[in-house]
Amino acid sequence: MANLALSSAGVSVILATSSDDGFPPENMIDGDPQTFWVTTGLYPQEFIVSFPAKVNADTVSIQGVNIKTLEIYKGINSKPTDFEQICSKEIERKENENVTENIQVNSPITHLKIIITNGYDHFVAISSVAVTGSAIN
Amino acid sequence: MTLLRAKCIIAGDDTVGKSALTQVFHSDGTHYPKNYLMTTGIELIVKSITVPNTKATVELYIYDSGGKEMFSDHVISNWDGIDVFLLVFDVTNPQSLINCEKWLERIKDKSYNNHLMGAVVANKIDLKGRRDVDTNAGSEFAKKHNLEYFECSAKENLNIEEPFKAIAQSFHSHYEECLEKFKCV
Ligand SMILES: Nc1nc2c(ncn2[C@@H]2O[C@H](COP(=O)(O)OP(=O)(O)O)[C@@H](O)[C@H]2O)c(=O)[nH]1
Ligand SMILES: [Mg+2]
Repeated sequence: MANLALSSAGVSVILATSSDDGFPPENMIDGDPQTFWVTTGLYPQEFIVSFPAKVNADTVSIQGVNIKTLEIYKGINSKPTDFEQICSKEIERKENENVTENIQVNSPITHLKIIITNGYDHFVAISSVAVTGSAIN
Repeated sequence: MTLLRAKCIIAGDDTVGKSALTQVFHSDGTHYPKNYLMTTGIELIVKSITVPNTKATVELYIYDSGGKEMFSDHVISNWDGIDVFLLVFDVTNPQSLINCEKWLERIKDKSYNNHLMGAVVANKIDLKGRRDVDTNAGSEFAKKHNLEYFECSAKENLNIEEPFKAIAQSFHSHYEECLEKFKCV
């Protein structure tokens, strides 16, 4: 199914807790699996993906390296406030391998807040955050 | 610009000079605590270091911990997710070097992948007449564990920045290594 979380569709990352100009958070929503955002030390690490308008989200898929535990929250207001937890997950350990985690959302959303609460190494890379679902007319 | 952040633990026996070292480093040599204040918990100090020949800065979140056995459970519980560390001993006190083995085990337990990035620091080298651990003993211990070795004096502000710089540099190198791996997956 088509990915709704693309910068080309007006989606943006409005906050991210790590900063390396060479690996910006936009790399997670550019539709290119080769580019990635990288955390630059300490946990937790957090970012918020915002849609230009509310969408009906079915699933969210996060693809990355070294993620150990994460939490996902949804925001349904137009402002990124009042987040509600969708899940808290521990991800299987795979050395230097891309792991894709699929999470059911089944809800309207305007924002997704993702918190990497721990990693398997000092640093984590996320190459893609994808959301399937449909636009709300 | 790259801004890295690292959790840095200062470990070692009581009275080896962990707090003095941390204070002198934090104040760029302007503050050496004259009286011994028992560190009963954890003190957090943040200090930035520019990594030589790069555009990267490492912000060290330095946890100066009390070394008394009675506090260790409490202290150790704050050690989760150690990125880098300094392991300090007192050159007038051979037992403080022996105990470094024990400290290192605890650090290992709390490190990602048991991957160690740290340095051994021989402190109080100003006390020349009372010195009881020679350079060889200290550097052999460091070499055995694949750690860098530094000798310094917090009291005389001698060689204090170097060990911190070294661990910041190791942390940055590890970041670069991770980036290379991330690019390949
Ligand atoms: N002569 C000398 N004394 C030191 C030095 N560093 C610390 N001290 C003294 O050693 C004692 C313990 O130092 P402190 O930093 O509190 O040790 P900690 O328990 O490891 O934090 C204090 O009396 C300090 O003044 C040093 O480089 N030279
Ligand atoms: Mg102290």
